[in-house]
Amino acid sequence: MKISLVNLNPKVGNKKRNIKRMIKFIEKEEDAQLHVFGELSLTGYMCRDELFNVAEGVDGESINEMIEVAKSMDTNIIFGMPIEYGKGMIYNAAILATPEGAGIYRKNFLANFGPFEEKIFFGEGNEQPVFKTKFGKIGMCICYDAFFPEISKALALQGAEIIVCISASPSTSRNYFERVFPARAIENTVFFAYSNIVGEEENLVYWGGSQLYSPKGELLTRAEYFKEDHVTYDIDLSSLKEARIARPTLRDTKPDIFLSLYNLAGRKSIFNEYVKKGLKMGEHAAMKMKMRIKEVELYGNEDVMFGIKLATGCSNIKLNESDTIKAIFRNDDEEIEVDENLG
Amino acid sequence: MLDIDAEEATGIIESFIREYVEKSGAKGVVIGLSGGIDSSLVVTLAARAIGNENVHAIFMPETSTPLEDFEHSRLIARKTGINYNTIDISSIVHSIVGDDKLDQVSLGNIKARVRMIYLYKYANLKNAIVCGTSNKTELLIGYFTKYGDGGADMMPLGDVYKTQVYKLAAYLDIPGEIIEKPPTAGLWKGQTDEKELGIKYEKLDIILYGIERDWKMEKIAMETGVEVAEVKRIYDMVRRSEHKKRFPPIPKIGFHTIGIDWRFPLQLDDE
Repeated sequence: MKISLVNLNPKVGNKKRNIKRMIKFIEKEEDAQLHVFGELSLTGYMCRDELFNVAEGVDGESINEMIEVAKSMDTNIIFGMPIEYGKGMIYNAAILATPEGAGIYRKNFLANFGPFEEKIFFGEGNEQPVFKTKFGKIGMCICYDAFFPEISKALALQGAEIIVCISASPSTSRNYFERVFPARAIENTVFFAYSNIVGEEENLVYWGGSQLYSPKGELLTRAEYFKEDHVTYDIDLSSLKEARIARPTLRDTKPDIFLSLYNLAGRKSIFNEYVKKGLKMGEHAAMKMKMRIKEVELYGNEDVMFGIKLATGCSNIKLNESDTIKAIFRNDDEEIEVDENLG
Repeated sequence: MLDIDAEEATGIIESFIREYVEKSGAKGVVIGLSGGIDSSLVVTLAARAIGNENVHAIFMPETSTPLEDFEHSRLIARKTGINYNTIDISSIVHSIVGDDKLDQVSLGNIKARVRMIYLYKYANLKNAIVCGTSNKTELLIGYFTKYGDGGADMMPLGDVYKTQVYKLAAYLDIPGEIIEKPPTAGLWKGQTDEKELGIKYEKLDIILYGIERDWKMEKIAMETGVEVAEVKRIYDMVRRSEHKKRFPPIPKIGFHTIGIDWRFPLQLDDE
C-alpha cells in the first residue's frame, strides 16, 4: 500500500484554494492509495473566530467534494477540517475520505496552552474509531493527541494497523513530537504516519517534516522541514507479523490496567478533595509517630482511606463509613486521633 | 541556556518574513536602519527572505547620532544591496520640541516617534510594511518607545534575546565592527544600553530567561551572580512595562471586544 504524506501550506479561510492544492498533490502520486494532509488543512489552522463560518456539517460541500476526488481517482484521503455537529458546536476533525464515503475522528486532546486556544472554539471528541479500508485498518488522531499513549492504544486494540496523526505543529514543538512518534509505533506495533502543515500563520511557523515510522519504531521516510513537500512509502502490512512476534507489545497489553488507571487516576487522583484530606491526615500522623503506624481506624470514606494509605504506607485500615472524617492511628506504644483539620 | 540553533532560527525568521509580507499583499518592507547590530541583522534577514530589491532601509540621524553609525549603515546597506536612504531628522525634532524644556528620555521618545512617521510614509509610498527591529530583551523590559521603535507591522527578532542576536549576526556574517561596538539606542550623546540599564546584556538575558521559566528569584540570582534585589529590579521593569506590549485596554461593553476576545484571523484569504 503506497502512502503519500504531504506538508501542505494552506491559506487561512480559503477552502476552495486549499482543496485545489490538495488535489495537485494527489495527482502527483496517482498510484498512492492513501494521501495524508495536516490538521485543519482544509481551512488553515489560525482561523480563530472565522472557524464558525468555515466549519461544515458531516454532509457538507467539502467532505462530499473530497469523497468525489477519492472516487474519481480511486484513492483515499485524510485531511483536517472544522466540523459542525449542531449550530455553533464545532470539532477539530480528521476526515478519511474514501470512494465509499467518509470516516470522521474528532480530536480528543485539544491544545490549550502557550499559543494554542483550541478549547475556546472546539468541543472535545471522546471516541477513538477505527476504519476498515481495502488495504487495512486505519486509526486517526490529531496533533496533541500523539502525546497521550492511551489514544494510540485504544486504536491499536481495536485493530488499527496504521495510525495516522495529522498536525499543525509550530517549530518549537518539533523535538517533542519526534521523540514520541517512535514510541507510539513500538508500544503498539503499528505503522505510525504523521503529516504536518507548513508555512507561517500569525506568530507560528510550522515545521512540516511529515514522516512515517515502522512498527519497530524506525524512521522510514520524512519530508523536508519548513518546506511544502511530500514523501511516499510502500507500506507492507505483512511486516506487522514479524514486528509483533519480535516485540509483542500489542499482544501483551493489559487492558485491565487501563481500568485500574481509571480507578486510581480518575476517581482517586490526588486532585480529589477526599484523597487530599487523607494524604494530609496520613502525613501528619506519620510525622508524629515517626512512620511507625501499625493500624488505622478510619471514619470517612474510601477516598480518604486511599490518601492515608498513600501517605503512611499502612494498608491495615479499618473503614467505618461516616460523613464526619477522623482517624485513629495506632502502634504498639501509642495512639493518636486526627480529624480532617488535623486537630 | 541561551543557546540558539542559528541555522534553524534564521530559517524560521526568513519564512516568517517572506510569508507574512506575501499574505499582507505588500510589495516589500521598510526598516529603520541605525547601523547597530539589530537593524543590520533585520535588513540582512529581510534581504535573504524577500530579495534585496524589496527591502527599503532608512537611516535617520540627528545631532546626537554617533559618526560611526553613518559609516556602518552604509556598510550593511552596500553589503546586502538593499535600497538605502538617509533623512536628517534634526530640524523636525527641533521644531516639535520648540521652547519646551524636555528631559532626555522625553526627547529620545520624540526622535523615535519621528522616525516611525518617516517609516510609515515610505511604507505608504512603496506599498510596503514596516518591519521593526526590536529584540526580546528590550521588548521585555520595555526599553523602547511606545509607538516609536515599538510602532511596526511585524518584529522578526521579537522572540530573540540580545545575546542570541549576536549569535545570529555572527552566523550571517554581519561585519565585525557592527557586532563589536557597544550597543546603544543613540538617543543622546554617549548613551549606551548597558550603562543606561545598569547591567550587562549577558546577565540581563539570563535573568529574563529565568523569569520566563518562573524560576525563583534566588535561583536566578545564583545563576547570574547578581543580588536578589537586582533580579527584582529587572522583574519590576518587565511587569511595569506590560502596557507597552498590549493593545490599549478597552472597557468591555459589547459582545466581542477588541484586544481581548475579538479573535478574527490576521491573514484571512478570501475565496
